[in-house]
Amino acid sequence: MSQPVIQAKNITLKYPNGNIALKDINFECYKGEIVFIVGPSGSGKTSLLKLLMGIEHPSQGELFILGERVQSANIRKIRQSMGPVFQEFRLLEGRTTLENVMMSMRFLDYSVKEMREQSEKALIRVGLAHKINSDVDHLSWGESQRVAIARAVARNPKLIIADEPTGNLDHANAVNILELLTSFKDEETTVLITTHATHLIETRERHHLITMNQGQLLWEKRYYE
Amino acid sequence: MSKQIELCRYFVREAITIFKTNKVSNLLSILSLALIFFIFSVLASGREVGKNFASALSEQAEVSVYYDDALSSEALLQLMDEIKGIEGVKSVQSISEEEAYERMKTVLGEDSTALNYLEMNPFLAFLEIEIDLGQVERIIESISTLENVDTVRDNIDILTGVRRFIQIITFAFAFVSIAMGISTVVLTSHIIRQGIYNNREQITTMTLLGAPASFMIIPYLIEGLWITLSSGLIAMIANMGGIQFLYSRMDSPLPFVPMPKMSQLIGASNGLLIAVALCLGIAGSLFGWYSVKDR
Repeated sequence: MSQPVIQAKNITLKYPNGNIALKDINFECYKGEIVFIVGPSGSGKTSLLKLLMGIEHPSQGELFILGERVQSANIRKIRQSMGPVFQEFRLLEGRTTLENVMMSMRFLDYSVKEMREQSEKALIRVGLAHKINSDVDHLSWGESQRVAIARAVARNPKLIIADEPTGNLDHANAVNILELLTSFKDEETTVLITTHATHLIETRERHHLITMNQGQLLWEKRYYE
Repeated sequence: MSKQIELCRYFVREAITIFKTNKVSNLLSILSLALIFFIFSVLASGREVGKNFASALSEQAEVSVYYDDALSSEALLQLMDEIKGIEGVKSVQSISEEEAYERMKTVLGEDSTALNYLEMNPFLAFLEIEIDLGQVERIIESISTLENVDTVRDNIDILTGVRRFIQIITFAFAFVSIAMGISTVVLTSHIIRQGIYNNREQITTMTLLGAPASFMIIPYLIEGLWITLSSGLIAMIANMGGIQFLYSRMDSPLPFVPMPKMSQLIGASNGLLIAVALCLGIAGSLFGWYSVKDR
């Protein structure tokens, strides 16, 4: 196998108040994988994502993303290679959907033409071709989520991270969103999704499943080996 | 190149959006700053008038030397040469009794008919000496010791008083400038901090997407500049109106106050105002950003 996209080595996350959010976590994810991190509320999924996004840093152990050890000095560069889909979407109010998507590319090395083309392509792919110039304040919940996904994928990230994307959706919409997210997986792109809705992934054939509980990695299995 | 232009347009659009998130408060801040800048511009104009006044007065600095009536022409020329040789003396001119009489007629204007009632010319010949205002005491002392000099008259008390007045204006200008600078930086940085607070979610999102701080700061910098420059512009218009009004009123009642040209005064005070607004806008924005960037 190639170099891991994510490599967690004995990671522990302890908050200043003494709470241990993650304990001795070890796992690896590779290029082109679809990774599901599942577990009930409070199992440590969000804490793990905070580490992956560089919001928190491990109290013990080492975390490597895209071959780089995560630390304050290089976190910006690592974040630029990722496509995060936040649980609460975090769209910029008062801007159009296109502007929201393009915004994630403005500080990267893209020409105006590339930015526009890739953003439009991403919006078309998530089914929002007719909403390109709509104000995000006027979008429905589902549409907002699709904009957030388009923003994450438009800049061709090596790692897409989605935090509870099925959280507030009914079954049909949740399945659609998972289908959409996993469709962005290719040879170069890894898709990592956290969810507590295990029933949605049971039927999926090829994926890498990580189950967490009480801050610990309960078990891990690749369903294509 | 097109990316730079597009980026500039993006930053301006973002600055407008940030401004709109706290529109009423920002508009009130612009008015407050405009008032501060207007006070500054009034002082700047006053200082400019004072400088002009001082310069005109320096040119007016002269002493009148009265000499012995019986002095021969040769002796008078020798006395003039001796005075010319004193350091700080710019020029020496001999004023005859008749010239002194004519000058007084000019000064009295319509009232000069009163001079006709005099049987003889009461004015004495004298030497009019233009001097450097800064060396006045030493020059008077030197002239007084010369042979054939009767009396030396000067208007130094008035000149010194005016110079002190101008020094006070300059001091007040410096004081107001410092106070204005501090309050503008504090107010602008507060506006920027408020803007950052209102947009903290957006900044966090941008940070998580990997945007560098230098990229995120620019809209706030534009907003700060925009606020101070708008305030400066309002103050500039008020200042122009004020100066025009002042000139229309001061022309006749205060003819003895030598005023600079109106265009020169407006240009100098407004140029200074805009430069100050620009610098304080940048300083305030940077201060506002750096005071909260790590939170």
